[in-house]
Amino acid sequence: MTGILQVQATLETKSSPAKKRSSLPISAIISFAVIVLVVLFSAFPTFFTSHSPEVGDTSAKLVSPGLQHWFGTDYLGRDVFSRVVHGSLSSVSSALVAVLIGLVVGSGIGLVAGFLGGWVDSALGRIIDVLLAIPGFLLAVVIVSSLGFQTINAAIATGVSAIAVFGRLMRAEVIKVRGATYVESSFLSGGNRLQALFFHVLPNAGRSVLVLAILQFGTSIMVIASLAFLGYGDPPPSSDWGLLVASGKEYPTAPWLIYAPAAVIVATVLSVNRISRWLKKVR
Amino acid sequence: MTNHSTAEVNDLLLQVDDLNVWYGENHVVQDVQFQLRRGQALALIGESGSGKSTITKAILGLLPEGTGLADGQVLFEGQNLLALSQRGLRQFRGTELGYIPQDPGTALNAVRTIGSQAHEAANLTGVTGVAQQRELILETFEQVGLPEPQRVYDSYPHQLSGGMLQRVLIALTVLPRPALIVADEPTSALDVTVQKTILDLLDQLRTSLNIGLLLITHDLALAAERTDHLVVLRHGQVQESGSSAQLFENPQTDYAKGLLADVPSLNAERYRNARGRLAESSTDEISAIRVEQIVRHFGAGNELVKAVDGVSFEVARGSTHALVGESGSGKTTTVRMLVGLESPSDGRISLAEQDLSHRSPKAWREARTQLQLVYQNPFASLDPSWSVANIIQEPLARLKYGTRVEQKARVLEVLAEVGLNESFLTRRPAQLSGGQRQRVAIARALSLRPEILVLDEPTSALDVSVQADIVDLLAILQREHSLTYLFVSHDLALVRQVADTVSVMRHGVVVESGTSQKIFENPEHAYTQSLIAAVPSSRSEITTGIREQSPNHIYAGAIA
Repeated sequence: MTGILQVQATLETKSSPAKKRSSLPISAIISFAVIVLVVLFSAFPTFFTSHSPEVGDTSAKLVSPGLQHWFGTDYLGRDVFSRVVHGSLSSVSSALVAVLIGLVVGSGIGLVAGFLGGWVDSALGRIIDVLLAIPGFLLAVVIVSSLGFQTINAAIATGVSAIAVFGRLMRAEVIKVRGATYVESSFLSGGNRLQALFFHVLPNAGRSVLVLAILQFGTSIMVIASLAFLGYGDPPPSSDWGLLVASGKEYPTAPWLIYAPAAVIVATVLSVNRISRWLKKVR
Repeated sequence: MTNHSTAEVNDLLLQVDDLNVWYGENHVVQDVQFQLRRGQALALIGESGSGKSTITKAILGLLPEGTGLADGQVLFEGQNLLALSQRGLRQFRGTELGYIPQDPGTALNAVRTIGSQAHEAANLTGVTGVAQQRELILETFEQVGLPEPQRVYDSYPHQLSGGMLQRVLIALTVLPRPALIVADEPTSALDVTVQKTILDLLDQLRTSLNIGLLLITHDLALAAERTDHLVVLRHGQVQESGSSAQLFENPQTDYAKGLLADVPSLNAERYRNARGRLAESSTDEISAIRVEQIVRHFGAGNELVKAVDGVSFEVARGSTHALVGESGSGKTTTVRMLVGLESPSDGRISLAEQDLSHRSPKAWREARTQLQLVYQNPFASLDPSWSVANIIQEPLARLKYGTRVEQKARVLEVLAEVGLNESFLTRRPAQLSGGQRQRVAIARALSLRPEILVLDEPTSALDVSVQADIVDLLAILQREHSLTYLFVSHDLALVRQVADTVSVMRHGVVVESGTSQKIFENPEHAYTQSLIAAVPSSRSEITTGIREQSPNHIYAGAIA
C-alpha cells in the first residue's frame, strides 16, 4: 500500500522530458530521501531499531538523546526513536487511506459533474459547495466523534473532509478538457462517450489531480497527527506521531519527547510539499 | 496637425543597425539591420520562430524585463531607442510610435466603451477638453471608414465585429498622428474581404499622413503587394532584403526562392501540376457525397439563427470539392453535419448514394470507415498524453479493424504513407512540429482506409513552406488511393489550384457553385467577385502573371 505513492511519483518523473529530469534540484533530492526513509520505517521498522517500542527499561527513563537512544527515552524508559519508527506505519498508511478516499470519491464526483454537466453538475456542485463551507478540520472532528476514536476512523474523517477539494479541481479540469478538439475527434474515430471519458478526459484532467493528491498526503499526515494529538486516534500504547507529541507535553523537563516526533512530522510534510511543487513544475 | 517639426530635416525615419536580442541564453535575433523612410512601408517576413515579432518588441521597448536583452542601435528620428529608459520611451510610444496588434479582440478593454478608451489616445494629442477630443475622435473614426462613428463611440468592444474593432484600433493608433506605425499581422485574424479594406485603409493613411509603416507578416503575397521594401528573416537572421519588386522578381537566396515558390497566390501552377492527372480519371457516375437542402437552425434566446439554410452540393468520386466562405458563412456547421457531429434540422446527406439522415449510431460507426475528418489545428486535435502510435491506432481499435497485430502493421503502413518513419511511433505530440502533427492527424484519418476525407482548413495553422508540404502530401495520397476530398478553406488562391469544383457560401447559403475554372475565371455572383478581388496578388503586378492551363476539370455538382 505504501508503494502507491512511490509508483505515482516515478510515473510522473518518467513522463517528464529527460532534460528537466536531469536538473533535479537538491532540495527535491533531499525530499525524496526523507520520504523513502519514512516509507522504509513503516515497512521494516525492526531494521532501523532494536529497541522495543512498547517495553521500556524503567531504570533508564527520561534519558536525553544520545548515542544509545537517538531521540532519548520517555517516562517509561521506552526508546522514542523506536516509537517514532514503529508509529510511522500507522501514520503513513492512515494518511494514504485518507488521500485515497478523497481522491477516489472526490474525483469521481468531479468527473461525473464535469463530464455530464447540466442538472447533475448543478446538484453535485451544491454538495461540493456545502462541504467546502464547513471547515475541513471541524468536519473531520465531527465525523471521527460519531464513528469512534480510532486511527482508521480519523483517516476516514480526513479523507471525507478532502473530498470537496478533489471534486472541485477535477470538475474544473474535466470541463477544460471535455471541449478539446482531441476529445471530439475520438468520437469521429468511432469511440463512445465512456471511451472518451476514460481514455482522453481522465488522463489529461487527472494530472493536476495527482499532484494535488501528493500535496494532500502531506496535509493528511498533519490532520491525522492533530486528531491523534487530541486523542481521536488509537489509544496508547500505540505510537502515532500525533499521540507521541501529545503524551510528550506532560513532561516539560524532557523537551525531546515533543521535538523529536514533531520534527519527523514537519520533515515529512515539508518533503511531500516540495515534491508536489516540483512535479507541478516538471510536467 | 503634425507635432514633429524635425520631419523635414531627414527623410530617414527608422534605422536599425546590428540589432541583437537574447532571451536568456538564446540568441534569437542576430545582426539585423534595415531602414525605413517616411511615408514608406517595409515588411518583415518570416515563418514562426523567425524573430520578426521579437524585433518589433525590441523596437518598441516591450521585451520582457529581466529575460530579454537587446543590443545594437534602433535610431528613430535620430534617437537611439535602445538607449532610452522606459520613462524616456514612454514619450515616444503612442504619440510617435503607433502599434497595431494582431488580435483586435483582446487589445481593447471589454468592460469600457470604445469612446472612453479613445479618450486615452486623444490625451496624447495635446488636444484638451472632452468636447474637442470627442470631435477629434469621431472625425478619426470617420476617416478610417467606420460607419456611424457616434454609435461606435458608445459601443462596448463585444458589440462590434472583428473588422470594425481593427478599424477602431487603427483609428486609436493614428489619432495622435504617429510618425511610425508598427502593425503585427494586422489582418491575419480577419476575413479576406475585410483584410483588403483594412490594408487599403492603412495604405491610404500612410500616404495622406506621411506615416512610415512597419508591417510584420507571414503572408508573402500581401507583403509583396503592400510594401516598398522587404526583409526576409529566418532563425533571427536577415536572409535577404531589398525592394519588394526586385526581391520578388529575382530572389537571391535559396530560402527566399523556396518561400516564394510555395505561396499559392504567387504560383498559379504550384499545386495544380501535382494532381492534374487525377481529375481526368474520375469518371465515376456515383457521387461520393451528396448533400441535399440541409438546414441547421440554432435557438439563441427567442431568436432562431439559421446557421445553414438549404445547402446542396455533390462531390464526384476521386475529385476535390472546396467549400469557400468567410467566418459565419456556415461552412464549419455544414462539415460538422456531414461527419455526424451535429444533425441537420432538415435535408438529406448521402454517402455513396446511401442516406445518412436517420441512421442509428451503429450505422454511423460504419460511415466513419468511409468518411474521416482532418481538423484545422493539429495543435489541438491530438491528445497530448498519447503516443503517435496510439493516436493513429485509435480508430482501428475502436472500430475493430482486424487483430492487434494487424492494427500495428496498419499503423506502420499509414505512417510511412504520410512520410514519417518508425522513430515517431513513441513520440508524443509535444515532441512534434506543426507539420509533423498534421501528418499524424492525416495518418489517423487514413488508417481506416476511408474513401472520403473532409479537410477543415488543413493548412491554415501552418507556415507557408509547411503548408506546401502538406498540400503536396494530400495530392499524392489522393492520387494513390483515389480519395475524395471535401476541402474547406478561406484561402482562394489555394482552392483555385487544388479543387475541381467549388461552392461559395455566405450567410448559410451557397451563393455560387461550379467548376473551379468557372468560379475563378468567370464569377457571376457579386460576392464571389469580391472574394476573388480580395486575394492579395490577384491584383498585383509583381507576379509573373497567371497562365491558364487547359481545362481538365470535371464539374460534378448539378446545383442550380
